[in-house]
Amino acid sequence: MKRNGVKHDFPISLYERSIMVSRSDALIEASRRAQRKNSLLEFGILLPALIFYIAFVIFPLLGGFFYSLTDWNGVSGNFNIVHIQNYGMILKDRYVLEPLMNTFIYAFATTILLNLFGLAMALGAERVCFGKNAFRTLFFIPSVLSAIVVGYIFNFLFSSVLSGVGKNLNWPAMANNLLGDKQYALAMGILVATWKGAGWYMVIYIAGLQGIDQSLYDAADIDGATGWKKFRYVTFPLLAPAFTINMVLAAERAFKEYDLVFALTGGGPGRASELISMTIYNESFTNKRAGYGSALGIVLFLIIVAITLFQMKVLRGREDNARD
Amino acid sequence: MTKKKVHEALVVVVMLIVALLILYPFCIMIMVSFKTTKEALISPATIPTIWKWENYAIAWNSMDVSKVLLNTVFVVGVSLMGIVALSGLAAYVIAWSKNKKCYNFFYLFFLSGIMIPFYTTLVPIVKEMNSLHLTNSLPGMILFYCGRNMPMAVFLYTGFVRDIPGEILEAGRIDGAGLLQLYWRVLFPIMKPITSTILVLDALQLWNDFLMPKILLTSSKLRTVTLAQFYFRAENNNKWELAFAAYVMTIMPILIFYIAFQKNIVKGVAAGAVKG
Repeated sequence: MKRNGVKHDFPISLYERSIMVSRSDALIEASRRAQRKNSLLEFGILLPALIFYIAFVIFPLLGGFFYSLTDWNGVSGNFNIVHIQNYGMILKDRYVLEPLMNTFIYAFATTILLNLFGLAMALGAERVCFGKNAFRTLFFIPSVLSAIVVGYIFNFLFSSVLSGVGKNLNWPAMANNLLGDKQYALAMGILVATWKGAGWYMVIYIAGLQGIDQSLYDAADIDGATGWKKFRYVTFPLLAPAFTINMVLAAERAFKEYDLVFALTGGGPGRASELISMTIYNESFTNKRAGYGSALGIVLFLIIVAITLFQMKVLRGREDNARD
Repeated sequence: MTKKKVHEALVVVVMLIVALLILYPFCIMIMVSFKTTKEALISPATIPTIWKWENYAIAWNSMDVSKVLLNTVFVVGVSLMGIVALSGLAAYVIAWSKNKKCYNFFYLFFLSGIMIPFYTTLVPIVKEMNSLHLTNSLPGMILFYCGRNMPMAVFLYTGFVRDIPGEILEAGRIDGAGLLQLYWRVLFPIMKPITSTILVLDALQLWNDFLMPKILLTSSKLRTVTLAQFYFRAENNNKWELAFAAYVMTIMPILIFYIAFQKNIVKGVAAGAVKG
């Protein structure tokens, strides 16, 4: 037996092994084929979304970068590569620097005002003793309207109703029309944007407020904390995530704003309330400087990325501090 | 006790003032919409002496409101269907594929699109739409919207799907259902909350979008709501009472939508923001 076993062991096992190997090969091959079919199917499922995204976001973005290096006018078939000349021009162009400055002022002011009013309205809507839902519903309404309508309503208000008020107050700038005054046009844009947008931020703050554990307030009560102290040491630290979101959201939206200020003032008088988005539009189409407009677009993109990253870093750090 | 009551009363008073500030422009708009041209300019902030209901009929015909609303409903509706269908599928693969490395790359690729401002892509988009013969066409608008809103929707869906335990799919897999069947039968119903968030956010955004239609749709027959609101003033010699009558009529659908789905909208805004 032993001899037999030894004798036959080697060749048989080799034979068997070869069968086993080929079998497992076939198995692996089959499972591989199934897997490949599966991963092909998976990719096929993802593909339509990818195609849309590449076609209407990524491809135009690359195109925008390319045109920013040219002097294309947007219409004719030929253009020259001018490398970074457009970017150099931006730094010296006061017709761009003024709107850019306006945009920073607008973004800074609306971010603060929207958060201030949003938070105050959220606290009020949570604390008010009747009609909570009615107030909340009403405060959000301006957020669902088109910016064009809001801009036109306020355009009318400033030119008729408020100018009447200005006459009574003996304030010539208001009597004429604050939107037509270089000094005030942008500020009025900021106020109208706050009127329109505060409800949106209120809703996010309300969600944050409702997530705060009631027992923390009870504990604060036992410690004898007053209203302000409760807000300062309980409410506000625990609202940190909502605060972060709202600051980032408001700033990003401000840099992308066009419709509201366009309908309200058209960027005027002069360029007093022109935002960079309007400059990009005007340069690209009205002034037929598509290359230059694209360069401005790239600059705007970089500004938004830089500010968002900066805000995230600062505010997330603040959130962590609050948690400690 | 009395201090608390004073405090409560103060909150109520402040809230009422804010409510009045928000309502006031609407009141002016509605009152002006019933006035004569002359009265609208001379005494804008009063109750109309004669209620001119025909302003509404004139504005309705002049703006062709029914056509405008139909255009907008078509564009927004089909775009929403496309966005939800395609981004949900993409998120399904990204979140649950065994090939994690590869799909994580695609996820980051989608994510990077969220911050890109429309103005950066302005010139190439117009050129691209021109060469694809998609200008002056509502389907062109729909295709563009599907692409532009895809990254945010993929991001929101992926975050949601990643939190769903995988066992739910295993049960379906034993039944021998394919990838797509699993998605529609098992996953899509579970995703309802996030689907409604995406629908709400995108519906509000697309309904009120202005710049893209302004660039792309030059034919007056294809106007969407915001475009019609924009052109109406100039085309009616700045007759504010007609413009406001038209605005009241054209903001009604979105107001009704808001009141009807208020809970979903408020939830959607909060949820979308928290995840963003």
